[in-house]
Amino acid sequence: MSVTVTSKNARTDAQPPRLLGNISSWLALGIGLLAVIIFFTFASEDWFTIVNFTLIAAIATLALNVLSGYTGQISLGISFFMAIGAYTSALLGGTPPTSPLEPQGLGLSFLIWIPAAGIVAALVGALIGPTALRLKGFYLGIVTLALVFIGQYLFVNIPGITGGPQGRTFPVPAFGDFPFNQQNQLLGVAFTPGQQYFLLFGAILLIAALFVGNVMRSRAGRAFRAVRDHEVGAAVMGVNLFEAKMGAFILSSFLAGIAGALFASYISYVTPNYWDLTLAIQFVAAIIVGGTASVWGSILGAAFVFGLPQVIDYFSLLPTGTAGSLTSGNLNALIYGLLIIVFLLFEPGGVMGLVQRFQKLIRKFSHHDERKGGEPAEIIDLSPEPGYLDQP
Amino acid sequence: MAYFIQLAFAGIAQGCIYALIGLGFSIIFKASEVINFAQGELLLVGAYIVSSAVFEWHLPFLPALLLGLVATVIIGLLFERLVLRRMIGRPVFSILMITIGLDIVLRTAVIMIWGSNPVPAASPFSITSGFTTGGVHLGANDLWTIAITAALCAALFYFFRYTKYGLAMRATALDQEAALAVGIDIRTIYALAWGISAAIATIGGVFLAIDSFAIDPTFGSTALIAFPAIILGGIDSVSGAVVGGIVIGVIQVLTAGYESKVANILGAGIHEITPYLIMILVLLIRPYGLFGTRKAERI
Amino acid sequence: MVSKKFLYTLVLTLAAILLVLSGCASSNGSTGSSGGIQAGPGVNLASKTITLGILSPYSGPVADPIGIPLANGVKAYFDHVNAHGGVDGFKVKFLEEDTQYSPQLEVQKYNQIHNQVLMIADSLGTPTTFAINSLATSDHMLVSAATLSSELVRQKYLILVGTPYRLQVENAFDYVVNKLGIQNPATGIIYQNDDYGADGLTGYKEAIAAYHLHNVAEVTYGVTDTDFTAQVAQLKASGAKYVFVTAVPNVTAGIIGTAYKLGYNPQWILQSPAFAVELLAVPALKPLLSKAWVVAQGAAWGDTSVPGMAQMLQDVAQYFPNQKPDGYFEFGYAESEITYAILKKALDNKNITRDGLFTAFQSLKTVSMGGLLPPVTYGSSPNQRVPTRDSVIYQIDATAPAGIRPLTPDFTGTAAMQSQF
Repeated sequence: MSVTVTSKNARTDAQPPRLLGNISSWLALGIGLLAVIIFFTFASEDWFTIVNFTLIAAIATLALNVLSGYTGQISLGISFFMAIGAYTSALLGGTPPTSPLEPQGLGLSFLIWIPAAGIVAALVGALIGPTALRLKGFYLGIVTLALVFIGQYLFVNIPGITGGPQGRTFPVPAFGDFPFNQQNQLLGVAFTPGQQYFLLFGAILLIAALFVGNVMRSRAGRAFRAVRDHEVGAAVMGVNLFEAKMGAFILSSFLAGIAGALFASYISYVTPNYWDLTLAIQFVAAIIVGGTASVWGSILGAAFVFGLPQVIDYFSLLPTGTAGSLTSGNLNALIYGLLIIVFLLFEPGGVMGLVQRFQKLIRKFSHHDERKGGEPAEIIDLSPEPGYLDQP
Repeated sequence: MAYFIQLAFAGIAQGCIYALIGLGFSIIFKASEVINFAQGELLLVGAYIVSSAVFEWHLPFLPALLLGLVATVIIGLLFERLVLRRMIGRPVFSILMITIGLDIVLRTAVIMIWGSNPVPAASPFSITSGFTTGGVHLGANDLWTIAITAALCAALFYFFRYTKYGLAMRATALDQEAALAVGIDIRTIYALAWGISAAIATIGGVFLAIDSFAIDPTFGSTALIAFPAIILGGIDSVSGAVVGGIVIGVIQVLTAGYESKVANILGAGIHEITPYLIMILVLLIRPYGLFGTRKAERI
Repeated sequence: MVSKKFLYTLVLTLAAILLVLSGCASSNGSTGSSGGIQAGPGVNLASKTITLGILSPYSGPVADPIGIPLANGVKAYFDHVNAHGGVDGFKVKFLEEDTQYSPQLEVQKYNQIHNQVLMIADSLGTPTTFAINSLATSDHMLVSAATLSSELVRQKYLILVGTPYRLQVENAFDYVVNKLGIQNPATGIIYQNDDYGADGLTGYKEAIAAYHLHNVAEVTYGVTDTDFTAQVAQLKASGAKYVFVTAVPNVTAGIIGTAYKLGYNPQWILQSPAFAVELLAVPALKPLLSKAWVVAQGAAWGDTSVPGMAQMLQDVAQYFPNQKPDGYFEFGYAESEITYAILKKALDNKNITRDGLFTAFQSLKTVSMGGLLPPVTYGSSPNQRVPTRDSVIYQIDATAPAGIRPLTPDFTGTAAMQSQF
């Protein structure tokens, strides 16, 4: 028996969503790529620094979104997982110590320590995951908060790995004798450190974003969202809560660990105090401002929270060091706090929410003539194919 | 022995301050299911205003305290009215974040108005006032802290048990819709909750400031320790907040006092995380805290 | 699910932004030579200006107490220099960036200004300065560090400009044992649980060995602690008579006040950052503090018997009239003598490139600090890159302009002289 359905949107309705389904998205990709190439070739080092930090922040924001945005597990502890990743990378990739006072390092390649950072952080996430099964909402949030403080205590007291309160240096990614923090030549073309880091961070972000995006469109992603929206309902429907929450924790911690390793590597010297509550809250602000449960939202949120203040500073819209505490830094912090409040009040979907609202508005205006009457009714032919009753 | 008692006493006093902050959290949570992350900065603002009132405007201590109370209550009420009112029904995460936003705004405002240099703390006592017995000094500030906390607890107990508004608040905490149906004005209840909470925060802040002699903008971060306190005691229990606060305070100070003896094993600074360790332990064993009510979840 | 049209719009917008960004390339200072002078980035031979960088917190909790006064000191010094012919005719300008005491922001701001400055004249904070260490090394950029961490001497391009914290502790106990003649005193230390505190602790341990101190207590506190009863009670129970305090001002207030409350009054010796003149505004603390000592360096503010002081006071009145007497201002002002000496030497060598400055720095030997600080000496090995090992012990004195009055002249203790870096 066959059913023929004719409708205007048959093609997009019936097929699974594809990232590059039609001409306009290929065009968008092409233009985006062109813009990136132009930026890559002509921008100066200082812009690269701002953009590179934003890229790393975007990875961590993605991590937090996986856990809190998609799966609804409140977490204030992302800086703890970032730290785990960072110290793993330091242990594996750091320069071997020349004196007993220096922290440990094995000098391995970044191709080892970047994934390892993620894996070790994921393992720790797997350990913490079961607590999420027993705690909800605010309680989970406070436990993750406790993680940050416990983490700081631990890091200060294991100087062999973390350098103790003095801190330590972190490894620089390198291809053999060519570290990324120096100008290198490849096939006759010179690459500045900013460009090399940009390629590395951009590639990792791209892979992470595609991966997360795909996961979230799959069955697992729907399970995550179900857990967020109504846990009991999800369990009733057959979602394995344990698997879903553990999966969210593991994926989130994996990405957070990698982001932490990259952060530490790019800053090059970090003390244990760096991985504090303030850092975690910045990422929470990023997912809220950008839009929870959205890959693009994560990237935009990171750009807003980590990139925009620096861009404002760059153009010196406000004087740096005026007396009387009305400095640009203080004003930035004030605006940052106010933005959080304003976004949450009026647009809880963050920037992505704003964009979607904008979209709807545009759609309303461009289709307004269709409000006068609906689309013509569709003919659905339910009649059976001739011969169906004929049994073989 | 005197050493132990001295530490225990200081722990009780510190615990009372945590209890006051925790009470503030608890009251707001009981009334509106909101966790107010900005409690620490309300404390900060209160302490700074009292300080300024005493040292710059030369008011005596009690009027200055009153001024601080009024100011923080107004901030709390304004925030509740203008911001939180619109957030009813939103997910817990969003509400948590919006109070974090307030936290950031308040702290930056304090830095912008007063600068970040240390500011003297206003105190009605001289340093050495108090009793000394058996090698243990019972400072006036600590004694007053304990006394005022006890008094406030008694007052709140009476308030919640026997007064109209207290009962109304408990009713709202149980079931908002039913309370509305019975004719309770939820808006007044929320305002009351935030007002009381802000006032208690300021009192706690002033005692903490007296203990510290000088305050700076990072002063409000102490409020975070109140979270373990209320989780230990039970987030919706007034007596729980007090017991939780005192237990956490005593254990923290005792740990700080003895930790150098085990510094070889435990390293430095374990007293900073003992409250959180206790909290995690409690959550594993008795998730609703010592005095909290077990919640039946409605599907 | 987001539509393609939206994606298209978003990507176009992002593309536009990226294009704009790439168009905003920052300008390099003109390099090249003229009149035989080789010039590096940040030098404009035509207008005869040299641009230096300042990376300091201008907002946040560290700005008002330390960041802003120190930067003001540096600027005041060069305002004076510029008004009097500059450095061999070159005027010195500053690019100031707010780091908010964050290592990440310091790295960002450094990358923002590094092609426009010849040298970093002021980089505040240990974690922050170390964050730009590798960048400065690859840029061959000298960084004058506004922090007294001992680790600086082992880094090629970082300049330590005063007596490190570690040696401050040792000098303090040299005073107690050698100058006051107290043998085997019962001593203790209370230190902050971070890199700063660790420095103080290292110095304390060296002092114990060198001066045969009777160490009875080593107590630490966390940055977020507000109650110090436990730590003070420990010190009291241990019976320490001389307690070194490696802390920050509001903590110092808590420690000394709580101690007095408990009836414990040892001789407090404060590390230089542990004291701030604002503490004297706390009425309860004023009588207590006046018995405490501070270890630091430099002439007392307003002491016009010291050669450079009159000039500094004049400069304060002229360029920063709102500046209250402040040890960090004086530090920034005095440390700029070293920057000046480097620039002058480099100009004498007709080479104001980054490498030229480095060579000049290497060959500096002794620099006069105008009397505000004792002359400093630089060499090439880590031990020699400690410019000064001396300290002054001050009494806290509410009547003195900056709150402290020298008890001793500048001296270097035996342990400090022998300490290996």
